[in-house]
Amino acid sequence: MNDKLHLESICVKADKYPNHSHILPIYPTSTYTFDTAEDGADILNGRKEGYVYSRFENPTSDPVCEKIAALESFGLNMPLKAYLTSSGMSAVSTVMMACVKSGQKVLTHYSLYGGTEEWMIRLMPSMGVQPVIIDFDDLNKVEEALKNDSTIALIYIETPANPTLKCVDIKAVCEIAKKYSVKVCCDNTFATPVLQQPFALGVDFVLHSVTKYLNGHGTTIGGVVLGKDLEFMNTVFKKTYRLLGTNYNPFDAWLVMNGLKTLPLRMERHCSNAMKVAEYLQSNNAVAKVDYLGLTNHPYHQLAKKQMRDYSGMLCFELKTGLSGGQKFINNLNLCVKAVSLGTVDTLVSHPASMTHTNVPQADRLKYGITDGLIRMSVGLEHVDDIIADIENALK
Amino acid sequence: MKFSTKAIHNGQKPDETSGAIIPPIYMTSTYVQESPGNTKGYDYTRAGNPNFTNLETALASLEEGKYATIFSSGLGAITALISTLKSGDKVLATNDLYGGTYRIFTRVFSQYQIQFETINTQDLNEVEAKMSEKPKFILIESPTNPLLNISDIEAISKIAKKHGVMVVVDNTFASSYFQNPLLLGADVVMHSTTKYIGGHSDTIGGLLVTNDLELKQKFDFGRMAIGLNPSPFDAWLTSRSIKTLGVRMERHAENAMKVAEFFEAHPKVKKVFYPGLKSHPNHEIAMKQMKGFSGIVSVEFNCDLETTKKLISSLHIFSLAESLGGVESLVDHPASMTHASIPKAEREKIGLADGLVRFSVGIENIEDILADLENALASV
Repeated sequence: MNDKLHLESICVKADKYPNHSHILPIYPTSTYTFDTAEDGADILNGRKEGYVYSRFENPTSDPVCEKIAALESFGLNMPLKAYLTSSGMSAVSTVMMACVKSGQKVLTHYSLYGGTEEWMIRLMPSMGVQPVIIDFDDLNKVEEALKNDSTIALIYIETPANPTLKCVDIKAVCEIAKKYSVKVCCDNTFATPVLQQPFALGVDFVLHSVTKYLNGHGTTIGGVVLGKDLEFMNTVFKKTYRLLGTNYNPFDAWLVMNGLKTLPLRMERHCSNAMKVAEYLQSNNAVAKVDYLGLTNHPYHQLAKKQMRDYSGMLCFELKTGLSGGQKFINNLNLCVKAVSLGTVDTLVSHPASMTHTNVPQADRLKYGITDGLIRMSVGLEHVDDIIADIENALK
Repeated sequence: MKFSTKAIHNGQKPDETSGAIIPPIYMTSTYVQESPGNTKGYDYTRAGNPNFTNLETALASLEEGKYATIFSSGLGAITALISTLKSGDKVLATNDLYGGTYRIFTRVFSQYQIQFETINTQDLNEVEAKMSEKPKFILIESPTNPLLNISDIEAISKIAKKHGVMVVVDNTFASSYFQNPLLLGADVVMHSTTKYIGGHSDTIGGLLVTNDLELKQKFDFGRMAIGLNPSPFDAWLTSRSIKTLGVRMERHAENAMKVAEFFEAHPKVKKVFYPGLKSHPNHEIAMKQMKGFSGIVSVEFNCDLETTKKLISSLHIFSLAESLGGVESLVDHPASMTHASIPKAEREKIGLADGLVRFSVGIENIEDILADLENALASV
């Protein structure tokens, strides 16, 4: 049935639920009853389908997993298995712990999301897993790293990256990885399956911070991991997920199901609003530089065009007035919200130098591309004229 | 303030803006900053949320500790605890540990060279002898699942302290109402809040409590960095549930005692496992360290596997399900359900006979509970 439907239709299509409920019921239950001892034994030992315990599976969470899997595999004829997790970070930690053990390494690139980088350089090494961090712009370096180090067990990429919007050539990386039989995991949070399908380009795992665009309303913290090797997902991954206790919960899963219904519509508007805001900023004299993947002068525009359907809602710009100018701009905003996170219906604006990265010395900040006047914007779904008017007013 | 008062008032302040007696549910991922960097103590729910703080304030005080951190699950709490270790570190644990805890060490963290050994923590000489191996901590469950073995928390804490070893107690079975390991010298208390603390079988959650600020910070860091946060909604549900923890535990224990006595007098019963019975081998230690004996009763029937299965399938008040500690009575048959994958000989070696059944005695009327048991026993 899903094969014949368009993406928007899959997003809103309801499954059949108990009592003919039109909307997915919320099952806030820790455990499940069995009819007989034999039944319990069969279900527990995998001889029969059935629910056991909500740290494992839950009837509210499962249809959400299936829905996200249908979106990531849209048009691909590739069955996927998805697991919802307590946060985007637990999606990262669970997939890495399922794939890599001590003595092995993870190959990744610069400018990862801060939480992921912290996991790679601070937590994994204490368990005997070292990251190999290189520049993925030069694919020869990727090949060289794999050729020279057989202990690399996983390639981890994030594209577009947060907050620099750097992109990685997913298909090219996967082709190299295949030669060396190394699996590739891609963080698809910024693009969402509406704009980018990493499985179509050869990756083995996709993960998301569901907190962002997938849920889209800022009402939950959550994550998801999807895999195409069903055997692996149903054995090693499942075991790791269940034992780490990185499960999601039914109430938040229910919120995500509702969020997904408008995902394609929201992404369309996020993209068109962001494009207009980027064009406006480019024409404003107070702005030194605008980073938006949709602008043809962006260094990653061509790559983004090749592997994405549109350019999403994230942009950065640089104020000529530096640190104090950045603070002043933020404080003068009336409509746009001053908060961390991204991907919500409302426009969120942050000034990394004075908000998220205040403890990082200026020299280190600059290494990450976080200049004093850098503003990060998650362009929302308000009317674009109102967003631009708010920016214009704050820039005065 | 006494337990039941704290359970209702700590971390349960009415909402300041509206006066609502019940704090609102903050289903939010992020927080608005007044000006850049100027937060009200929260910047992102993976790191913190007002509903988390409310529940943590209450649970720390109920556990007679200073600091609490809540998690996505009981095993999420164990994951955060293990994240304070590094490759090569060793952990000792009670030998009849909860299966999930056992497996997270042997199947996941063994891949990262975390050394793990189980010992008989009922034997203080064995505990003392193992201290020379310099474990980072010793993890005790008391009472254990499903055999309700009791270890002497105070005595073990004294031994461990002498050797500079941290003591962690999984207090899930007793609940904070009946046992406070921090007062007995333990360093960390762990709970699956899914069980008695949540008490209504409607959430999955975990908890760590300590008096050590540095440890609390490590647990918070682990939660944030690994992403082991619960949902604000589940935190709120648990805050609601702990208001009745005291009255629930009193009734669980009262009903369980009557169930245990009923079984002890029944001819079809071979052995009853309940720390409240004088026949329990460590009843004296239980008397010393617990204020009550909680709601789990395990029973070995004079029945073979098939008859035992028939017996529990004939119950009506007791639902056949995993988990425990909810207001409703639940029954579990280890030999055919949770431990069926272990060969019979192996099972019997660890005390799990074919006729062993675990009852999580609920707070239904005791006459209905006893009639249900009587009925089922008469049918086999």
